[in-house]
Amino acid sequence: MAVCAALVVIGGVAAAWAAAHQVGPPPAPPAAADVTETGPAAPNGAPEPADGRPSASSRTMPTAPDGPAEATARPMPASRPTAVRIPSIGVDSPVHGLGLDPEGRLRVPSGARYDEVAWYDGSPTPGEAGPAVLEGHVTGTGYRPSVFFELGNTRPGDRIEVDRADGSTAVFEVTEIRSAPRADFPRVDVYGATKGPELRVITCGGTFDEESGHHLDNVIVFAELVRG
Amino acid sequence: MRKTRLAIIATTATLVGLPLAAGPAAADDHSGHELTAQLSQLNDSGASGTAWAKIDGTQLEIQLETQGLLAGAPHAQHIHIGGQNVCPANDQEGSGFEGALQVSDAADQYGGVAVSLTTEPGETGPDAALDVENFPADASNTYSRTITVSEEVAQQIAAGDGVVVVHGVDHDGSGAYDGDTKSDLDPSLPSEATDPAACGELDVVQMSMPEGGVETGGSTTAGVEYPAALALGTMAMGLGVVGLIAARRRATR
Repeated sequence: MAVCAALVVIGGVAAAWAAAHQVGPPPAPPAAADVTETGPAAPNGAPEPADGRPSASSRTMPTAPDGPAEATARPMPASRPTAVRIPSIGVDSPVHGLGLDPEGRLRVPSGARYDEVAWYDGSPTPGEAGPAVLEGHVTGTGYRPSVFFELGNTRPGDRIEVDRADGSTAVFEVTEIRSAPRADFPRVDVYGATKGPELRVITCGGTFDEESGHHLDNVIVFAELVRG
Repeated sequence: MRKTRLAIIATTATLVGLPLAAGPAAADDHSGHELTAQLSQLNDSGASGTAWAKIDGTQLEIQLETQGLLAGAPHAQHIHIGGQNVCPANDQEGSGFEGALQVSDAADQYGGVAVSLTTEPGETGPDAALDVENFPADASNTYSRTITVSEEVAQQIAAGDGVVVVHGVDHDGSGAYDGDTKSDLDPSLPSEATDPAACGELDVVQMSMPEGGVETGGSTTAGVEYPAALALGTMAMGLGVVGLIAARRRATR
């Protein structure tokens, strides 16, 4: 009898603890969130809703006038990226280069650098004319959030700072956040020619496919150089 | 440190360089001979789209995705070369219906037809520019074709001189190509059938474009954390309850 009662108590505590330590889904961009958000934010580990985060305190750049977008800055000379910061969502990561696999697909961060941001070394360096491509994981094994878990929480106007090997920093401003199914990836919009220096920050989010074990949607942040 | 970095760069170069060198389109720099265009509306047509093209020798591989066009009417589509190799602005007025821009009104901007983007089995030269039988005719169209072009045209497109123009605008909203204004290209057609609806400049892509999306998700966040604690805890709780019930039954008997 006492043993049974103890089992109930211990089991209940263990189950309740586990239930309280569930991690919520990664945030989706507004358009996708409208469709997929069916309930309140997950209780633990879930990021604040976009409206709840302090936007004023995250803007540390001296010149960030509201209103019409600033004219895109002049292109910078080529120099490999070394680190990236997105203050509004607390990202601060070293950057390493990655290329394509034999099928022409972008390789993704792995091993000791799984949780770091990668730059597609076939794309322009951040600050050069054209779309520089950065990518990072949204989650890792063991269900833990990875470097771009909160990428869907960025908003137009947010700053992205990329340190470069020549000691300069390229500062970009977010212009658009999109969510796209991997099966219908907007290649031209993401990788296609641009007039000026731009940045694409890519991760996964949205629908998770239990069978393949991967997220089916990519979250893509589009940004333009505002200060070289 | 420096040695490590050099080693990493060398390894990366080997890993990345080999498959690239093996491919037929190996380029001297990052930009292969891929080109893309963002198509935006002309004549307030509401049409838009994207274009991707690749030049390999005299082979032109092209994909076109368009939306917002008049449904059920053929949409002539071409690569223009010449003029300033640019698109006119949406609000640019011309000599057509209520100031609508007709094809020849912007010839000094995008030049003449160099390639007709017909579907099989249509011809692809300038002579096929109005081959209405062989053009896409839906509101949204996905077009893909590999076309042999002249060496000159291939070089001009590869250099970024091509401009994609999609035609056919229902100015009066009647749901069909009609009206009294005749086409500046073929007087037997209404102007609506040939007036430009969307335009995009084919610019040289600044990289070798990766295929498809990116698999940057690890395991699911939609899954269950600490599954063992949850399962064992629940099981212990269940066993306890069963035991309690059994003990109580025995006691009441």
